Order: sequence, then structure tokens, then C-alpha cells
Amino acid sequence: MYLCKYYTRLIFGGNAAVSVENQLGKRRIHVRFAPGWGKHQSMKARIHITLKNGVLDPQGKATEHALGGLGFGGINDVRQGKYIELDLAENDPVKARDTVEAMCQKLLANTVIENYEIDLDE
Amino acid sequence: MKAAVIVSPGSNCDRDVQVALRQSAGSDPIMHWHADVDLPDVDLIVVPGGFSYGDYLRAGALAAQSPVIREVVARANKGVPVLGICNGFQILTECGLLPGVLMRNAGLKFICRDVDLRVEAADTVFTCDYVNRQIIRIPVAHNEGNYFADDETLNRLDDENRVAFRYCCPEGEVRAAANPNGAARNIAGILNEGRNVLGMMPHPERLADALLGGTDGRPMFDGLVEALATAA
Repeated sequence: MYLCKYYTRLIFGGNAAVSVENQLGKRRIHVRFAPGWGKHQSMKARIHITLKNGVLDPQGKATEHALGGLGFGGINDVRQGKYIELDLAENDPVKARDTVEAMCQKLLANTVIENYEIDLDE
Repeated sequence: MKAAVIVSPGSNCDRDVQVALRQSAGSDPIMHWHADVDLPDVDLIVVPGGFSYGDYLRAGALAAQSPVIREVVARANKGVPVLGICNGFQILTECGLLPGVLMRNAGLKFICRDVDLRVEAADTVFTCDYVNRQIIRIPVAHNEGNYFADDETLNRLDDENRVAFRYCCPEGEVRAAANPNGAARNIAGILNEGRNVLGMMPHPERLADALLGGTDGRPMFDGLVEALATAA
């Protein structure tokens, strides 16, 4: 019994309670889960961060130059940015968007020079 | 004068600043680890150079969110002098104490060499031992030193005389050829509105001892000690 409780706690933490019933020499083990437990919360947020128009992008320029050197013509401009993927423990798209928006404003992008675009995958 | 040097994971100029301050002040500054929130009462805070948090995301962006920097911002807003050098300058822009941003060098290369600077504002606690238009030679060592801000901000910095140093040629002329990193208007260091926060890319602490080949950086620390001793 003790072991049973111990392992339940180990695996499910505080989300499950275990009890044991003795019936005619047979043992029945009952595991009760906390309400809502096991409902998987997950949502992908894909964030593209790009330099604002008018901000010089020397990396993009150098890449453009190198592509030209390889014989790829017809490139008007190359701009380089960042892509960040977040896996959120959230099912509400409105809440998720608000949170990611705040993350971009506070840390993920520097809005002096960068724009960001958020895509949510539900 | 009591000073504190903020040490983040990846700081690598903290010891140089410590030595420079010890030399000018005659006493050791407090070396304050970034995760310790309780910053003692000090007359000066230095955010030194290095590669805090490996320059992840953007140079200075993660350090700017560390608990001690919130306290540094609060102290700066109360008037405590704050000096940010190199990565320290990047952190001060990322946390909003100074306007603009330090972008990747226009030449895409890490630059490590001595540069000539013209002192543009000698009326601060940081620069009082220099004179206006003085030309000094100290090193830069950075990959993101390309100062950028919109025209409105740049005009404001000029109008309010908040550019402390500009890259110049040895004769003192501010020209594009003397600009190592593409910084807007050759800006090497700027002040906040209250003139108690200075961010600069060049390293005065690296040339503050004749043994290292020059002493053009030393007046910054001597001046701070003099100015803050008088204030206290």
C-alpha cells in the first residue's frame, strides 16, 4: 500500500489520489484524478521578427551580394530576421495572443528597430 | 566614494573597471552579482563590458531583464550616476535608461582597436576631468556598436547636448572615415536627460594605466571620484 501511494505520487504528483480496497483476499486499487487533469494544453506560437523598413541590414546586404556572386540574379533586396517558436500551455487563443504580444513588446523584439508578427497554431 | 560594479554571467571587463576604480578612488568597489537584488547604497554604479548571457537574443537584452537592473533603473531615476561601458551601454539601451539601440557593426566584423574620440560634453560627473573638444584615444572592442535611433531622437540628443563622445580622426574632425562601426552621427557615447547616465562603446578602463600603453581613460575615473567626493 505504501509503495503504491509512493509510486502514484511519484508519477502524478498531487494530481491523483490512491486508495486500496481488500475484498475476499483480492485487492482493488482505486486511483482518482484531479478534475481536468490530463487535458492537454498546448498551442504553438510562431513569431517572425524583422528589421523595420529603413533600418540598414548589413547581413542581408552581404547575403544578397553572395547570392549575386553565385549567379542568382533578379534579387531586389534581402532582409534577414529571426524566427521564434513557442509551445504554450494554453488553449485560449485570445489569452495566448495577449501573452505573446506582451512577450514581444517586453523582450523578444526591440521595437526601436524591429517589427514582429505572431502566428498562432491551435 | 562608494561604487558598485554589476557582474553578470559573461561580464569580462568587470575586473578592469575594478582596478581602474581602485586606482582612482583608493578603495575597492563592490562587485555585485546580477542575481542579488539587494544592491547596497552607492554613489556610482558601473555596468561593465562583456558578453552578458552570451549576447543571446540581442546583445544586452537578457541582462536588461535581470532583477538587479530593475534596481539600477530605479537608482538612476533617483539621480545616482550610472556608467555603462560597451555591453553595459547595450544593457542600458535595452532597459530603457538610454534611447536608441546598438546594432551589428556596419562592416559585420568584430572591431578591437584604439579609436580617437572627441569629447562633446565635459559638463558631467563622468567627463569633468576632460575639456570640450579634447581628443582622446581609447580602445573599442565590440560586434554591436552601431548606434541607431530615429532622426527625431538623434536631433533631440544633439539639441540637448547629450552626445558625450563622437568618433573622430586624430585631428578631431568628425568624419565618416573615422567611424568604425556605422554609428549614427559618429556617436560613441550618450547621456540621459538628467545627465547622470552615460553609455559608451569605447573602454576607458582599458587605458587607465601607463603600463597598458596609455592613460586617456583615467580622467573618467579620477573625475568621477572628484565629482562624487565633493557631492557627498
